[in-house]
Formats: sequence, C-alpha cells, structure tokens
Amino acid sequence: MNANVKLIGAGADRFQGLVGVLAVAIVVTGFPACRKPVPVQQPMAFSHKRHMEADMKCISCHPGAEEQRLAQFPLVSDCMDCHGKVRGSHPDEPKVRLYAERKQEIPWLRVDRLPGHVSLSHATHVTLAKMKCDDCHQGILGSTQPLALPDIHLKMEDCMQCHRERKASNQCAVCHK
Amino acid sequence: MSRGDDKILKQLSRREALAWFAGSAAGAALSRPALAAAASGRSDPSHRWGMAIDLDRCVRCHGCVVACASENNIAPLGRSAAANARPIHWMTMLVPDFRREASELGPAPAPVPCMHCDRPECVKVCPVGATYQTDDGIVAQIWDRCIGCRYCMVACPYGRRSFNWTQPIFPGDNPSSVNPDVAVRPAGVVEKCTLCQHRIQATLEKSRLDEQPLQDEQLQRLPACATACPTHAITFGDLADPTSLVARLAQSPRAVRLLAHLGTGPKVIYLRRTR
Amino acid sequence: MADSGRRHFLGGAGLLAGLAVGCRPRRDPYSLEKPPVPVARGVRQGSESHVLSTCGLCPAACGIRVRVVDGRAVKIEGNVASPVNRGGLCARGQAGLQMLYHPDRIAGPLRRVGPRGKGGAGAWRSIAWSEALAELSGQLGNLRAAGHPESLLLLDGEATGTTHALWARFMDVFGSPNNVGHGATGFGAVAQVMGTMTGTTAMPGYDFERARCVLLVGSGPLESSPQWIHLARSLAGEFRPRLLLASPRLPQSGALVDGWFPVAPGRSAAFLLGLAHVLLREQLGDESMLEVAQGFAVGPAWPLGFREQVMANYAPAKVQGLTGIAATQMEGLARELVATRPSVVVLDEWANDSATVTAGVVLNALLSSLNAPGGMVLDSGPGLADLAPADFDGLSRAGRSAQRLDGGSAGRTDFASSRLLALPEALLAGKPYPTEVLLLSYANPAFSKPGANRWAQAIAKLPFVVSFSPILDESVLLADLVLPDHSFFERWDLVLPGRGTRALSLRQPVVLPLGQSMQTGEVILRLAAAMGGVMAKAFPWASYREAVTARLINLPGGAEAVLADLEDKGVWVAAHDVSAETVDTVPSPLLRVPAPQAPSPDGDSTPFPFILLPCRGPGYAEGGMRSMAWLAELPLVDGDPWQERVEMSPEDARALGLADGERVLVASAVAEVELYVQLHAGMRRGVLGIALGGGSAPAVGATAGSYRLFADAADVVSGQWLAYATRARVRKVA
Repeated sequence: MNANVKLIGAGADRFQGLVGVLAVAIVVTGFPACRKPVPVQQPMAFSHKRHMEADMKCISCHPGAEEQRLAQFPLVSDCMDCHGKVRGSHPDEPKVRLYAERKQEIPWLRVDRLPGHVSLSHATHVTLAKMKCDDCHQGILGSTQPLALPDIHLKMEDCMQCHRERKASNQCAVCHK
Repeated sequence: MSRGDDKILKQLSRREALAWFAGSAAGAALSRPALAAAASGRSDPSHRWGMAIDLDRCVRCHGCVVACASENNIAPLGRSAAANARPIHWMTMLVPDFRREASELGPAPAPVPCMHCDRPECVKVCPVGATYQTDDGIVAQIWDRCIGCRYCMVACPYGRRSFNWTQPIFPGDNPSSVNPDVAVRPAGVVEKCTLCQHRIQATLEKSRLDEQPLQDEQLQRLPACATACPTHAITFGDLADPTSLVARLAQSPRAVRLLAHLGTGPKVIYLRRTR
Repeated sequence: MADSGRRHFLGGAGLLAGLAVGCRPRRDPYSLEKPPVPVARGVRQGSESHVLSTCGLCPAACGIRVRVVDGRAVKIEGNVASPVNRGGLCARGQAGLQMLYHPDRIAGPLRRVGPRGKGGAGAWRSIAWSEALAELSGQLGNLRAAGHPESLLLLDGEATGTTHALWARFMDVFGSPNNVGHGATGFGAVAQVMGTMTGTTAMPGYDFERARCVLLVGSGPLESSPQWIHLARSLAGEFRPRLLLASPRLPQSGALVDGWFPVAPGRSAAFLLGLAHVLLREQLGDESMLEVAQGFAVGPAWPLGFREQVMANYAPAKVQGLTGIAATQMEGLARELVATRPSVVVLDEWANDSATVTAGVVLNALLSSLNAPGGMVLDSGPGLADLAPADFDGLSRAGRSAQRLDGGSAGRTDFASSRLLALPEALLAGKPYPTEVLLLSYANPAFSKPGANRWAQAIAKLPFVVSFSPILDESVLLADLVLPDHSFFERWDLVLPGRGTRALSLRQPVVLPLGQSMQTGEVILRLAAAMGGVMAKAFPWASYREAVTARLINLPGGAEAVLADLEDKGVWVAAHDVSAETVDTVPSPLLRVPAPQAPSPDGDSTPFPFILLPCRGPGYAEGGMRSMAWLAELPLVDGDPWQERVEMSPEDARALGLADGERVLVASAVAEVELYVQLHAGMRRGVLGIALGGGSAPAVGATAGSYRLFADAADVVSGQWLAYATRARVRKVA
C-alpha cells in the first residue's frame, strides 16, 4: 500500500472542499439573478399610459391609496362607468363588458408584493407624506401592458434614505411586522 | 445618527448573519451594541406604552390567550407535535403550583404577556441585535436577525419567550385566516408578545390621518387581548400620560409588578386581588 | 488519482453544490401562500371589511365582528352593540376561525359507497344537491307510503331558532312523534322545570349588574355555560357583587369567587332546600309569590306540599352529612342571602337535576328576586311570531299519536321533554317499532353523549342514516348520506340569545361558502317541496330568509324597521326594563311548585370509591374542541394538552400514591380509560373531574373520549341524565 495515498476528504483536500462549498454558497445566496420572480399572465390587456392620457387619476381605480393600507384594484363596475360603451379599438376592450355581463370581477393578478415581514401603508405615504404614485411605482404611468413582473425595485436602503431625508422614523417596528 | 451606522442597518438575512457571526463570539461582542443602538433609530419618545391587568376582574376565560394567538398568527402544535414541545402562547395563563409559594400575584391563575421591561435582560444578551427596545418602551424583535441561539429565553426571568422548533403548521395546511398585518415566523426564531405593535402603528397613523390627537379611549382596548376581554380586566395605554387610565391604575395601592426585586422594570402592572 | 485532480474535483463539486443551494427558488419565510377564494362580485381585491354576525359555538349567541381581508376571515372580535357580550368574546368564539377553515369540512353532499365506520378515500361519492334531495325525499316518501311515518327519527341539537321550528313542523306534518332534542344531557332540566313552574321553557337570565350577592350553583356560569358571558359582562362595570359558588369543584376561574361551598355531587338540591328551610322556618323570605302557586302548601290536590316536605326533611342539621356542608355554614349563608339583597341563586344550565332547579327558583322567589332588579329574569322573548299553522293529513295525525321511541308521553315532543338517553336501547331492540331513517342535525351522539359506544352500535344498525354536519365527526362516519350545513360564518339567520335579553342577533355570511354546503333550513324547505303533497303545502316559503322574516311581523316597526336595525348594529333589542314588570300586573309568575322527595341516602361506595364529575372548561365546545387546536392547547395544564386528564384532589392522590402527571386507569362500570392525573386543590375529596370534549380525532369506537366513562342512566320521571351517578376507581397503569 502506498503510504502517500490519503483518503478522499482527509486533511487539506477536505478543508479546501469545505471552504469551496461555503464560499460559493455564500456568494451565490446573495446573487440577485437567482431570486428572479416568474412573469404572470394577466387576464386581459391594459395600458396605464392610455388611461393617463384620458386624464384619469390613479385614485379612481385604486381608491384605497389615500386612506387605507392597500391601494386596491378596480371593480368591473368601475371600468363599466366608461367602458359601458365601446372605447377605443383594442381587441381586448370588449372583454370588460363580457366580464360585467357574466357578473364576474376581472381576475387581475397582484404582482407587486412586499415580503411578508414588511408592512406598508399607502395612506401614510400618499396622504401624510404627499408622495406621488410614481415616486415608488416608477414607470407604471408610461406602461402599455398590465404588470407581468413587479415594477418596484426598491431596496430597504432606498426606503430608509427617503425616510431620513423626509425626517420620518427609521425605527424597525414602523416598517416591519 | 451617523452615516457609519447606516451601513450596519443594511438588510441582513438570517443566513448571512449566521455565516458572518458563527463561531465568532468576539465578533458578536463587538457588533452587538452597535446593531442594537442602530436598530432603535429615531422614533416617538413621547409615549411609554404599558398595560394594567386587574386580577379582581379577570375571569380566567382564556379569551386573551386565543385573541392573541389569532391576531398574531401563532400556529398551534397539533396533536402529534404536542407530545414533544410546548404550544406557544404569547399571552399565557400562569397557573401557580399550589404546592409552592405563591407569586406576588397570589395563588390564583393570572394572564401573563411579555413584561416589556424598562431594563430588559433579553436585549442585553442577544448577540445579533434581533431584540431591541424602542423609544416608546416596547421590547421589539426583528425576526430575520434571530439566529435561534435562545440566549434571550434563558435570560428572561419571566419565561415569556418561545422558540419555533418547527415551521408553522396551520391545520390542514390552510393559512387562510392568517392575519396579513403580522409576519409569520419561520422555524428557528424566538418570538414573544409585541404589545400588538402593528395595532399601535395603525392607531397612530389613523390619528395623524384624521388630524386628531390620540385619545386614551382609543388606546385602552387596543391590543387584541384587551379588545377580547369581556370584563375589561386588561387596560393598555400611555404610562407617560398621567391622565391615562393605565397610568392611574399603575398608581393604585393594589398595583404590583412581577419579580420587581430583580430590577427589570416591567411595564405590565397587576392589580392584586382584594378578595 | 493525483492530489491536484482530487482538489479540482472537490472544488468543482463545491461550486456545483453552492450553485444548487443558491439557485433554489427563494420562498418568503414570513408569509404564507393562501388558498384562492372565489372572487365575489362587488368585492374589491385588496379591500377589507368588518362584518357583523353572531357566534354559533354555544347557545349564548354573542355578537361578533369579523375582519375580512380579501374575502378571507382573519379575526373575530365581539360586537360592542350586542347586549350579550358588549364587545367581549371568549376563547371559543375567537377560535371559530379554525372551525371555518378546518380541513375536515365537508365540501358538498356525499353518498356512502364504502363500509360504515370508515372515512377517507373510497368511502364516499360526491353527489349533486339535486341527487341528494331526490334520494332523501324518496326514502321519506316511502315511509309515508308504507303508512309508517313514525319510523323516522330526528335528533335535533338546537333548542331555539327558525331551523329548529322548521324541523318541528317537518316532523309534525310528516307524522312522526320522534323529534328528540338533547335536553337530557344539558339545559333540559332548567327548561322542564321552568316550563312546569312558570309556563315558559325559555332559559332564564340573571340581572348580575344589579345583584349584590350571587350564589352560583354549579360552575357552568364560571366556565362553559352560555350564562358565563352574562356574568362576565356585568363585571366590566365598576360595581361587582359578592360571588359564592356551590359546587364540588372550584374551577380555575373560581379565582373570582369570594366563597366556595364544596357541595357533594348530586346534592345541590339538598343544599338549596336546606337554605330554603332556614328562610321558611324563620320567616325571613317573601312567600307571597309562592302562596298562590299550586303545590307550595298541602292541598286537596297536593298531598305533598313543597313547604311541608322541606320542613320535614331538609333541616340543615339533617342534610349536612349528605351535602358535606356544615349546618352552621348553611344557616349563615341563608342569612347572608337575606341580608345582602338583591341576592340571587343562579342555576347552571348544564345542571341535570330538576330538584335543584325547583329549589333555586323557590329560593329566588323567597328572596324577592324573581323578575326583580338584581334577580332571576324570566325570559319572555323578543316577540317573534310563530310560523303560520300548517295543515295536516290523516297520516300526520296517525303517525304522531304513535308511541314515542324515547318512552315519553304522547304528544308533541320538544326539547325540554325529550328523553334522549332511552334511545340507544330502543333502537337496538327495535322497540316499540323499528326505526328506518335517522336524521342527525347538530347531533353527534356517537361521541358527545354518555354511553357513546352504545350510540355507535345503535346507529350502525339503522337502515338509513343522514347527517347534516358541516364537518367530519363520528356520526358522519356512520351516515349513508351527508347533506352538509354551512358553518355559521356562511349563512343568514336571526338568532335568539334569550336569557332575558329580549334581543335578536343577526347572523350573516362573513365569507362566501367555501364549498357546496347548504344551510339546513334551506334544505328542509327543498326537501318538503320535493316530497310534494301535504309536505310541500306546509312549507310555502321560497327561501329560509323569507320564513324567518315572516316571523318579524309583530315586532314594533315591522320587519323592515327591525331588519334595518339589524343591518346597522347586528342586534335588535325590544325595549325592556326588569323593574317595569312589577307584580301589579301579574301576582306571581309561578304556576306550580313541585314538591321534593325525601333525600335518598348515599349509595354503596365500594368497589368504586369515587364519583365522576363531568367538567366543561373554558375551551369546551362539545365535540368541536378537537377541531379547534387553539382551544385544545389552552394553557390549562403543563403537560401535553391533547392528552385527556382526570382531576383529583391532592389528598386523594397522596392516599393512592399518585403524582401529578402520572398515567392511571380510571374504570367505571361502563368503561376503562387511561388518563393523566392532574392535581387540583379545588376538587372535593372523593370526586374525580373528567374533562369532556377532548380525545382523539373523529373515529368510530375510538378508545379515548371521556364521555365513554359515564353511564347513561336517566332519571325515571324527568328523563334527565343522572350526571353524578357514575362511580369509578383509579389504579396505576401497571
């Protein structure tokens, strides 16, 4: 038996292997590419840009933004206020009336979600801090398709920075559940 | 608050914290005070939240226990796990062992939440700053920083901290009734009563939105336990407001605090039985 | 292999392992994926609302306010407008969410295809409601066609409400006298005696807010009885009465009590009659209401008068041995009740002993506490109209005049007069005639009645069994057809809290039905329609809601005004003031006072030295506690909360050499069960407290389940369960 033969995993090899695993695990765990969310299929087309051009206000469809925690989604009856008759020429536009006829709400899929340990109240930010919707929802006003992926890419540091500038509390409990 | 502290406030996931601090007691000792100091941030120090529990009114119905479990998404253990672990109760009913000396509260059972001490032992020993004290007196927790060492459980003289030995299991894997205002804690995290901090935030926000000053009446039944209690035995409020009910009850001749001789400064005050 | 090759191999393996670890999809550990809910029309995504409704976990009918987020109920709190609870809510009420979303909820009608006694895959076939109703109406139609409608048996666990009224109507028109309620094991003694003595079987209320001295007979009002919330509500004020408890056991909530009389089990009647003796002997009480009641004094029709019997047999010195309370204590208590007025004697609704209830009502009359401030309030209801009378046919009348299966006297059965405990033997023997169809509504006797195993055997023998339970239970496992009710969170109704509140409490859906269940009240209407003929004619309402609303016609303002109040506040209360109902208008609400027998001596205590005491703690919910884990895991004990326990006084334990937490075998004449010892200083010697409602998940013939320990012997006259007649012995597990 060759006295130089070492068992696999013994001594220096094992140590280097272990370090290799740990190092890669640590690095890759933080690697943003590996946390990509999956795009969703919304029930029909919708263009925020087109609706803003029609002088609509965000609050007409998202009524919770001023006084509640969640901004909420529109009811099909809200859409029918205008789309009770044909508006525009998009091929999906008649779907609004179809849903209303069938007495169904349009099943929009919610894409912007905060992590479960973060708490946010729209009322505080919109009414007390007098922020504009696109301060956080950057780019939504110009989008021509409903969200398939989250449009908010804020990190905790971004929120804290704004809080610092606007003299709001950075105490953990204010934003974390 | 210096810019240097901000770096430490970067988002730390539990895994990263473990990787950074594992095996490094010195590292923990060096960074813990900085983390804790940074965590408290700037808040509203004009309030000092406290609670009074009147043992003459308490019917020991356990309504507060279940109200808290429901509000804060405390998953039950279930039949099979209960053989090996204790169910978690943020608000528990302390049943004195009649064979030993009674506590300051006397021989009858009493509801006991976290004491939210002025000088909390748990905060002193946490190596990662996962538990800290806010300026308004709440001993709060950052779930994601907890590494599950359970030093805080050892340190708490009231035994009011619980460890998640398992992932939360809601009966039939159906978490439909989970309260969206409170995070669900994963396995490996220590948890305890938060004095319904999410409700405090909501009430403060509402008073700012309504542009009305905060009234004591809005606070008296604020936490879930106080809301549920049919005899109004539990009162919450601002101890810093001398006109508040809780502050007045704290001055009652019946007022007593658990293990007061330890100097922890608990902010849950009991009104002793008179019968 | 060379060293460098090995190193590269390990380095490469490390890289791959790290990538594998890091590139898993990241799950958010702080929130949970919730099952989808049907998107209701007009419910905005992300919206939140609070819905007022009424809890259904006990007959108290507390008002609740449920927070609903995105179509899911996430928190239950009390409704501050309800006169029952004024915003408070007990442990049970709040655990209701676990019942609503329980995985054992039955999703829709089921037809058994596998053998009885088993659940799981292969046991059931899901069917449509049309098929289910067609089958049941066919079965029932066959009974009528054969001329034997009396072979239909209904077990209805409710005592009030419109569904209960519809069932009674159904059985009447169908032609069966076998409409059996659960009064024999709780609430029935109070209902029966109140009916005899005052003409109304409604549960009385108690004006705790104005009482100065309260004597609780039995610990139900401190723990699990619907009276509990009324007592608790009164303690929210600034004033509280002196609270005294007469019971073999001082529960945890007995911490509230100022004095405890550890009366021997089954001897509370003797205790109360001892107090009455003192008041009559020394003329300390007000006898005006009693003198006009029949039977209080000896008369031509009443050879045994109440007064004479009490004076002859119930002197405190005579009954102190039986009750275990010294004569001096009884004398002192009687005088205290007179001196500290308004004082009131509170009868535990779980109490199963007619003599105790009679004695309590008489004492309240003597203390001027009947329909008076601070006293016992006879409930006259809010004024709901009865359902319009139905037409019968010859078969209805013939069937109803048949002998009752439960041995009760002929005529309309009702909750109070039902003799539930006689049924297992009658069903097993097929006497006086065989039963063909059994309907179980709010009933699970194969678990939650004494003699549960006999019930399981009896039910298994019947040809066709139908359960309306919304959740899996033992009786469902024995059923052939399941027509699941909505949970109380999913249906509309008006509920009567009674107990002197004179209120109506709104129950309305807080969420869309989770499955394809249907409200039982609705099922009754459709069943009658499917049967046609006289049945269909007797149920003319298009919907259950219409049937309920029709009963509001006599209320002030009419149905519209009442419904508007209910929508707004969740409750409607008829104007009422106890002190306004004075004796000027009615000289006495007492019609009759049944005379007590002489007290029977204690039975032989060997070979079973202990008396078993049924205990119902703060989490008690009949069989439901097993489904609501928050209740099963209440911090009542230190050990495993799911294990069933026996409470024992420390002295008895010491005498037997038992330690706290030790496993023992408790054996009665009926069954033997292994339980944990729980030492309890508030337990009378010679008594074992058996907590009811716990045990294993629903399974027929399960070995655990403490109801099985109790014998189902019933009082011959009243049909009430002899709750304190089961004796037992304890020995260590070998």
